[in-house]
Amino acid sequence: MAEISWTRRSYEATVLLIPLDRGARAWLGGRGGGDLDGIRIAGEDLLAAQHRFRPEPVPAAGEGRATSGPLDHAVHDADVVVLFTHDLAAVDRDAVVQVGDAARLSGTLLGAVVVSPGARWADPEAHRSATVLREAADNVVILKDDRFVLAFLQVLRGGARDRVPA
Amino acid sequence: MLTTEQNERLVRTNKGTEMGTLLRRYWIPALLAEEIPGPDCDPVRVQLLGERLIAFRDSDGRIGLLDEFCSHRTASLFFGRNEECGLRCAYHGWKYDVDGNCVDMPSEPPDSRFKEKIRQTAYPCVERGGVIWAYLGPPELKPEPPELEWATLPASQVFVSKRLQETNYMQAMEGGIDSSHVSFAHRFNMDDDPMHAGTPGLAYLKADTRPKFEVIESDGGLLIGARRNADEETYYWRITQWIMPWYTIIPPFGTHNPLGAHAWVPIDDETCWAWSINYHPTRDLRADEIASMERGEGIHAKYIPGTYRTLANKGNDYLIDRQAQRDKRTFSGVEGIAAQDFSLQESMGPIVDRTKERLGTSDAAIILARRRLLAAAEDAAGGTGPLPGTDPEHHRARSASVLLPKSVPFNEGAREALLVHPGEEFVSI
Repeated sequence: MAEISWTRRSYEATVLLIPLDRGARAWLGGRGGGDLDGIRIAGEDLLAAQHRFRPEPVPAAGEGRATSGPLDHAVHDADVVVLFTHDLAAVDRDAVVQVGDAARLSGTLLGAVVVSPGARWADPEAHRSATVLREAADNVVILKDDRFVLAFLQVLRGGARDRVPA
Repeated sequence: MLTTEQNERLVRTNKGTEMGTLLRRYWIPALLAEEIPGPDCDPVRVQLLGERLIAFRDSDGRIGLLDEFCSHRTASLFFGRNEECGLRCAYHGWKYDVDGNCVDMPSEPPDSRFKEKIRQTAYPCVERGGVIWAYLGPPELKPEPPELEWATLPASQVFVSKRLQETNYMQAMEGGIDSSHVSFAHRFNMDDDPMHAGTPGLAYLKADTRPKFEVIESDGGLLIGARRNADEETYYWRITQWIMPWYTIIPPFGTHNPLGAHAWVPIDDETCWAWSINYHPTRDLRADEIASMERGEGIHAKYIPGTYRTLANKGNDYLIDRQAQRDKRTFSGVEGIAAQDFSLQESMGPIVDRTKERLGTSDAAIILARRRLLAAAEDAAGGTGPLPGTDPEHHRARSASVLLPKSVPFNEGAREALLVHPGEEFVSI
């Protein structure tokens, strides 16, 4: 967990951003100039490692898994996890379910940001992904384009700063 | 959170400020029509976005909204004589028509043409829905008059009230788009509210006190969906509309109850008018409903008689009743849904310091509303293009409360329910 300062003004959340498709990863790769300062971005290897790990299903009683994988650790180390997609039809839905389980077990807030959902809305895969995201996340934000994504993430991060993307 | 600079940009609305320039591009709910009830009525003071103005109806019933201070020696026109199609300053007799033309200047020689060179600042007004709306922006950029459903209905179907709130408009409005407070601030009062009575929606609300939120950018603002589990297959959705720059439409309970709406309009940077509206698109409001609204129940508030200041206010700690709080008759000890809201909002100070807050995922609508306003302010400062919330199509929106299959996005499943269909029932359970 992030080190907590008891001065409210300086409290800063650890935000873990998980891109769910190639377009989202490419978009994040194109950011620069400190736009993503303080935001941890999950690499492709995290989800791949989690898939290899094959965690046990979460018991209905909600007592937690017997073992934990790399994704569980990453989620546990964050205060807020944000799932991010530019292409609902290409979302790795198994990953969404696993992140949702991990967040629930560790008590970590889980949000989802969907950009341009209409782009491939005709694809039934997009509908399925939307349903899975809705089930997993505490909050879903659907944006027409990407202009507020960075500002949204930085507000979740919090902390005292002179600059937050407008 | 915002930086200090962003917070300042968001809350300052005087002439020449970035947000002031934006807000002047919209029609503004300025005063109740009842405040200037007829031709040659008493002029009344009106303050909007820091500008001090005077409103009156001339002998022909035309509405005037002028700079409060006479162009001559800056005496207040509040003391003016409203007579013979104009407002005459009580100091030296200069007289203005509703367009701001100086039509008489008795203190100068009768053949002087000086009066033709004088123009009192005057703003155009329209009357709709029991409200006088004013436009304070550049004339060439004036949008179409407001088409919010409540503003287009017959008077018998609408009840409008306003109250003074001692905060910046933005933190008042943020209360209106923050759906998650309902389960706390109003927790013990949902049953008493006549607008919630007898609906399955209320049962769903009480059965699942941890709603999940989805926020979707719309053309004119935001759609804010709060969903609760109804059964294995369906969600109960309550969908709020935020229409830029300051309107909300509250999700309804049943179709037998009226819809509710709000607007938050800056008086100056530290006070605002909180407008509250109940309306029913297909029937007249009943006498008992109107009586309840006049008593300050539901989204309305009790007044200090003869004013628009609330009876419960910060000068008396909002009449807090600790025993009622202990007995779980109210969550905060403050009586009334409106007072429960403004007591907490005013407790944050007249202008909240947003550098100190810690927002979570449930605050997404607040985060996005701020960003949309700041982005629109940049657009307004840099150009003359259309702004979100100025197109009448953006106004023709309804809130809704619906049951939808879990696989259906609320904006798809409730698409038609979220539009105004004149004369047709709204969608609500």
